Amino acid sequence: MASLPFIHLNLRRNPFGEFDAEERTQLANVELGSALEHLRSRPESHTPALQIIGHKGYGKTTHLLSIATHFPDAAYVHIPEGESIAIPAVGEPLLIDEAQRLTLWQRLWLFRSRRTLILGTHRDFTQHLKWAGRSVLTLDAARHTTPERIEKILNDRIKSVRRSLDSIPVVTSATAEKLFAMYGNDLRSMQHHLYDVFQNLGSVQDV
Amino acid sequence: MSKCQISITFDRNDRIYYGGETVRGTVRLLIDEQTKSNGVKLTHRWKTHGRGNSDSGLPDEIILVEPRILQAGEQLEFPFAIISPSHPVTYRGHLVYIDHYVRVDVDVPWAKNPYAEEEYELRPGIRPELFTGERHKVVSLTAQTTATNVGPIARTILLIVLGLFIVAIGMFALFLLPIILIVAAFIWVKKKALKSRLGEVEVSVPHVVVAPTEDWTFGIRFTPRKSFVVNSIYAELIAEESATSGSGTNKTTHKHKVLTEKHILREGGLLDLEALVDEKITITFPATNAYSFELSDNSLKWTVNFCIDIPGFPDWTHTESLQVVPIEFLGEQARLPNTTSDSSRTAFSESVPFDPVPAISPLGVEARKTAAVQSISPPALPLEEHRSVSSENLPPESIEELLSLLESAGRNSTQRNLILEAAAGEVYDITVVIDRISTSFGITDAAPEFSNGKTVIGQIAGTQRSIEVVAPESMNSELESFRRGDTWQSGVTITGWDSLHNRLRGAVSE
Repeated sequence: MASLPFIHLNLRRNPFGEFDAEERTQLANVELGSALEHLRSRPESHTPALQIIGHKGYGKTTHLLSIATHFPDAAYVHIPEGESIAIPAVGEPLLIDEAQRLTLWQRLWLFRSRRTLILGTHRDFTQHLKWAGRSVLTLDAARHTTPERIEKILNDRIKSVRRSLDSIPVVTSATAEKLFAMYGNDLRSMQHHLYDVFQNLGSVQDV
Repeated sequence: MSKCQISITFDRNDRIYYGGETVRGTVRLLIDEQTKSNGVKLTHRWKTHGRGNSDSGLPDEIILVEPRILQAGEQLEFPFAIISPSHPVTYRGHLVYIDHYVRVDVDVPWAKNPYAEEEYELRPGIRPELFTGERHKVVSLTAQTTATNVGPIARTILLIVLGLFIVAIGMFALFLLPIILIVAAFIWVKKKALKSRLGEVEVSVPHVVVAPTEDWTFGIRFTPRKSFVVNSIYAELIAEESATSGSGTNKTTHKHKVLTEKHILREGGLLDLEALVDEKITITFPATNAYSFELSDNSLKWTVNFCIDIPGFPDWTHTESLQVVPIEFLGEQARLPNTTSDSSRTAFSESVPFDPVPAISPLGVEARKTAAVQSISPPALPLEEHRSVSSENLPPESIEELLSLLESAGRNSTQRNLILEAAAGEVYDITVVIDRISTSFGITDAAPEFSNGKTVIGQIAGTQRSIEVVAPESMNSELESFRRGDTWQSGVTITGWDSLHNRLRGAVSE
């Protein structure tokens, strides 16, 4: 018999390990109606800008990656901590993750440019963007986080690594509520918690 | 409903392949609805999964179908054959997993691509080219990183820039100076205090590239400058996984100890002034498939930490990095079986067989012991063959005859032991083409005159057979004049067989 990882749970891997950008995008469970409407309405005088604000682990990057899938010409850039990086000259819209790390000059130049901006940030730039003549929509990354949504997000993750149609472990509503009570909107901490649970899970069962 | 159904099957049900072998299988596509496709692609690569960001190898790609319309009801079948890499081998740990994948993607424009992905298990097979037999320094299996390609000029420039940066920071951070000075002073005082008690402490390890289950001797040696009491002197063998997730401010490194093994070199008690402390211990390295690796965000590191635990005083510590590799990476043992269709592979060597236990747990020692017993047992010796060797029982007259007999014994350890037993009392004139000469540290089964001598390792002239010959201390000065490639002749008594390196063992006969 093949020795395959997590076959005892009918899974391919631990569903709460780190996923890459492509996997995260496919799993993104975010409501983007208002954001897309705002970005596509390009009034003559005001270039749109969208801010996704939230603490770490709340889903800013997931939001950005999901939005990017709707724009085939989009450019995405992540600014690592302590680094200043070149902003891509092409790509519309321009998505900037960790935008609070933009240098002052980059901010002045970008905010005043005619490019549509989508910012994932800890800091609220509403006033700066408005001063630059933009129409701004700000979304809270955790705006729809409820125990029901958490339950769906977590179970979608498990289903994404399913091996066969046989049964797989399920995160119950009670567990989702408990996790919400423990970690609030911090989805990443919930995933870290469940990683260890799944490492020790001996067979397919409700979690 | 999906536009098509994709399945990947391997020619081996257990999906176990050995490094360098050909992984064969079949991809089947059943098209459910007419689909415009930009092509169908097969990708073969390894990648990590688990707690940290995913690291992956360079993908090998095969185009199975050129861009065209895939018709509903169409059934396509593609056999594939890909060469498996030598490393990294499959690893299933706690924070880190390394798996090898075959993935098939149907590229559908402006839609989510249907795909299927299946893993296979890669076990140690051929030796990576980077392993040349050198065991005294860690071999970087990720040597292609940019850091190693930085030339000396670039390195100097980098150092200058770094120096200037530190000076600039220092100028703006003068207020930190007292703290830095206090920490530096504390470290200096601790070092001085330890040196005033312990003198120079020498730590010795035979080599840092180690294979599971091989005997490994290490030690510590110093002459106390004062009399004092120790709680113990010990060495701790540690294997630790590390996985980094996220990036920037979200970056978190997780660690998990796979193994901790404490070996007491000396129990607690009084160490006398000027009384030499010279402690050595030989351990059998743990049976494990947790081999060392170091990727960008995931690693498994082995270290041995020496500690002199002194009550009411700072402890003396020293850490030595080790590299644990499959035995197949170390020498001639890396042989593939004649047949590649059967994955129930035979043992590579008699003393350290390939671990046939599924690699689910990195250190499933108990399970592994049971399995090891099954594969350690050499193949049953035909009765007549057994009788012919034991009844003759005459020592081979020359080294050529001995080698010829050993050749015919192959990997049959019982037969080989009989031959070596018969040859044990004889002195053979052997000419060795020297590969290296090292100090005979840690020899526990040789006569005292050999313990501080040299070991000559090389090839018996005119043959492909390796040998290691221990020489007495009295020959040290003579042997020091030899270099790699020189020939050296001596009367040698055969003392045994090194299963790890698949070579003869001998001692100079004076």
